[in-house]
Amino acid sequence: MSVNEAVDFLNEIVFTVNKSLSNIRIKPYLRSPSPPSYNLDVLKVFPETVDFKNLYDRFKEVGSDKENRVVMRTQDLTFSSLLFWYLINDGSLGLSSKTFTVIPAKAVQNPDSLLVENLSSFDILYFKGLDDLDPTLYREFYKLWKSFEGVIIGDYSYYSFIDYDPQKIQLFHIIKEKKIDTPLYTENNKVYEFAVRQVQDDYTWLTGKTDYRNLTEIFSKHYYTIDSIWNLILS
Amino acid sequence: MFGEDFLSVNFEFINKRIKALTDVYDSYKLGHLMLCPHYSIEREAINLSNRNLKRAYIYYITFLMVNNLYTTTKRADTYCITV
Repeated sequence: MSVNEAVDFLNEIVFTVNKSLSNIRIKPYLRSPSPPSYNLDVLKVFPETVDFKNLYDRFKEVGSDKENRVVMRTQDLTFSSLLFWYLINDGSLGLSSKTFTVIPAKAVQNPDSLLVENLSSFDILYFKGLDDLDPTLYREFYKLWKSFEGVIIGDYSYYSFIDYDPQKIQLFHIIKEKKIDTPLYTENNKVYEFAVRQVQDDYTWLTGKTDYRNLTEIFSKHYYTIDSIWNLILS
Repeated sequence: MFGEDFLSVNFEFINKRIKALTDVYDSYKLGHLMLCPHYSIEREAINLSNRNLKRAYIYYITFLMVNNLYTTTKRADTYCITV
């Protein structure tokens, strides 16, 4: 659907809704939508560091069909999901026009849900927290990994040590050739500042305020995950 | 995390009133995850059947549209109409 068609479609809906609203005498009415004037450009959003550039380049390969498997190793699963959100919504990478689904690996219990036929209607599968996948499902996951035609993206925690765990090493052998490090908090301070800024932006967006609490604690010598930063800012 | 409490309140409501709708609720959770992958939803297992996943995608598109129609921030515009 082109942008113009989409706007026409939305205008029609808004017109119908406004008509019903005026019938039952409710104000205010819905405004008619305008086409998006702002395109998300991750190169402007991300800090200009080598690790972000590497991640961007890998996803660029995915967008141009040169690569179809990527697994991100991350120190903070929330952070890698946020990066995934940015990369999938970016206009220049070519991923935004594809259908995708998010599968929390922890929630998978039935082996049938990892069958290719079950998931073939999507172009991109995003497995969140692969290290939490139940070991009894590795076989099904391997089959999916080998035979799925679309793109599979995943992430797993840096601290799960799946390459040392005697059971999880099977999973590591499946994904080891496609793994890439997401930017690490401990390696570059800009990455951590970026993560904190995301939480601050979200907080301002949700509440309209800028009274961030515990900022000195957040920027002390410790590193916090995004979930903990939320807790600190809200506490 | 933010989404969890809000969603679990809805879950309690749905689960107590209409038990047949748990599949719909699973899709609702998945739709939220597609909209914001960084939400951490760590409750019981989700039924990931083909029908649930497709329904979740419809919810996702609906959420995008509602965001686009109701909010006026720059951030809402980033949810481009590319679907």
